[in-house]
Amino acid sequence: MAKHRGLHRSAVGAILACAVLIAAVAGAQTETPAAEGDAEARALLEHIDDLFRGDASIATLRMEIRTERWERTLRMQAFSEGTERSLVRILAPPRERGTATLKVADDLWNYLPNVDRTIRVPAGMMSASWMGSHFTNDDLVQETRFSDDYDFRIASRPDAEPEGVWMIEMTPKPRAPVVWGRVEIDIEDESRLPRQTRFYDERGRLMRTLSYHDVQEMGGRTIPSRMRLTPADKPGEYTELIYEEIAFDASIPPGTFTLEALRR
Amino acid sequence: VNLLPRIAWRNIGRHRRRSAITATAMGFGAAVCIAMIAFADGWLGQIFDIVVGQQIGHVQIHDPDYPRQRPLHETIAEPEAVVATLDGLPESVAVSPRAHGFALLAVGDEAAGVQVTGIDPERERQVTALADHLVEGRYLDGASGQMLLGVGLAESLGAALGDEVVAVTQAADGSMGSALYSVTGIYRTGSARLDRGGAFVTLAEIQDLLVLGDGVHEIAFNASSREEIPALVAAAEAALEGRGLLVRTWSQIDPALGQMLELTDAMIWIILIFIFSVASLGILNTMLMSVFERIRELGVAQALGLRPLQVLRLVLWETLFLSLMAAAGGAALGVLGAWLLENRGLDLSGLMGEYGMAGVVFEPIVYGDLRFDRVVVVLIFMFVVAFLASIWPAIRAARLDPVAAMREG
Repeated sequence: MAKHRGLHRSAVGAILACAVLIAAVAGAQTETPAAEGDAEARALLEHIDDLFRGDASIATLRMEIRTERWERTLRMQAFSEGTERSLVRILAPPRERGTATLKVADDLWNYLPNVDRTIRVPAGMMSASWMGSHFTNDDLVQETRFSDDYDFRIASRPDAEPEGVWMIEMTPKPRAPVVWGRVEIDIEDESRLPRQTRFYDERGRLMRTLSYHDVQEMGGRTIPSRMRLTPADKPGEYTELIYEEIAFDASIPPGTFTLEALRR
Repeated sequence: VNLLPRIAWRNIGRHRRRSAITATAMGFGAAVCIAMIAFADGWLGQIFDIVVGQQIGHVQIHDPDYPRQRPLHETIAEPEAVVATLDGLPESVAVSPRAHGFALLAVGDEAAGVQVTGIDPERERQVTALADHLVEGRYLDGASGQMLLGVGLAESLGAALGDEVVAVTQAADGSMGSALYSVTGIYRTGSARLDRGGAFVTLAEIQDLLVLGDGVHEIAFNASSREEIPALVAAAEAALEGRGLLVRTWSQIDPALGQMLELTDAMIWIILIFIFSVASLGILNTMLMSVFERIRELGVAQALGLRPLQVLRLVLWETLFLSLMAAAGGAALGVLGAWLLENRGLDLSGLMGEYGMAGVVFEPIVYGDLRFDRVVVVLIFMFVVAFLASIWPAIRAARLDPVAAMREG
């Protein structure tokens, strides 16, 4: 199977990165030399990749952020093309309306409507929060290929506890540009949909959990329409992304992913 | 009664070379100490100025939950009332409220994460010397849209005077805020943190950007001098009783710096004691030699009716005269050295280049600080050491048996 499957980004990366999160929740390149259980794991990840992948997508979503101090909801529209280009534009609330983030390959720009300026997010700010959420700028640009950057194995099969769930454990290869020490993804056997992804640091401490909820048909596919990111170190806080609408293989007007369009 | 000092004076004159060596050793020791203390005082003063005078202020108050992680929402309740209370304290000479926020600053294509501080320009001028450390441009005059940048930050952003700066930040209510400023001044304070990652705007503007209302995170205020700080702290704590605010001095805010200053101060005294120990060994040696060389002479003096106690006093008089000469010469030389240090400075850049400690980048040229009280202390110290060093030889001389002594030599 030498077919190029495109990038597999971390589920979180996918979320914002392809703006349309879903477009890249999972997916693995298939050239890795086969290891024990590899083929099955890859098949699962490929399935998810196929499930969520679209060449171009347009989505309307809500981002609900809850912190210890405040909670707020942002409505946004997201465009994505492949894994390299995406644009997220905030529709509400009014104070932030028009604020937009453009991602092209590894670069990230923010457009700030009330000062009418576009700024490029510097490397040093990649780990900073994106739009005040628990997602980071890095989540938007991260293009981790599990197949390139991670070794993966099946940690648990559906016949074992927890029943009906495949657990795939991924550890970054040496020198891989990955901030996580380990990533685990739970995939439901019956529906073949992701249930939860857990991110651990180098010392094996759980850093954050991304869970998938409210499976429904959207844009002609059956997908989880709500995802919740929970940071492990801030009890009670989370950021949720809720899809209101999504169109896969949509036709995106040319010039959408440019700095000129960003400030539209 | 005047006899003893006269004999002592004549004895010094009779052994000119030995006297000269002793007095020179003592005087030189004193001179080195005076110059060294002036150097250290100047250096410590410079560090104090950089950190305390240009950024911290003598005392600061915060909400107790603010200092650790500096969350935006932990502001000081009723800031205006607190400022007014502090203004009213006779011990406090200047009060400056501040608000801090972390923002992304972008100039053209360059951007950096920066600690932006909002200040009341006129109040801040009273507390810290920020206004005096502009290398380019001018200080904030209260008009909107003005920003001061640290020299290192301006360099890394490629920002020049008049350039537009875009600031983006997450406000206290979670929303994203952005604002435009123009670079009105560039400062160099010597603090790495401020110079490389700091910017200042007006308090009202940062409160607006961060959605803080009238909230401030910090109130810095000064006593009339470093020595008056404890009194100011006590007064402030009493006046703010019940408000649940944290009152801390600069050394509590920056313990590393406080400890460094204390340590350096202690080291100066250790070195001072060391130098005088060496000098006092010289004095001890000289006085012993002068006693041993004159055993016969002292024996004769005793045979002629000088009582042991008078012999002891004779030797001590000699020490006193030597010390006086040493003090005069040493003070003159030391003050000259210190004066040169104070006016010319000592350029350490060749020795260490740009160097820093505890986050402070030091000026390459250290200027001494000559203080009269330090000179007096050194001279008193020298007299005490000389006196202690000559007691034993003096006792030896007093205990001589005149008959045996006259047989010697």
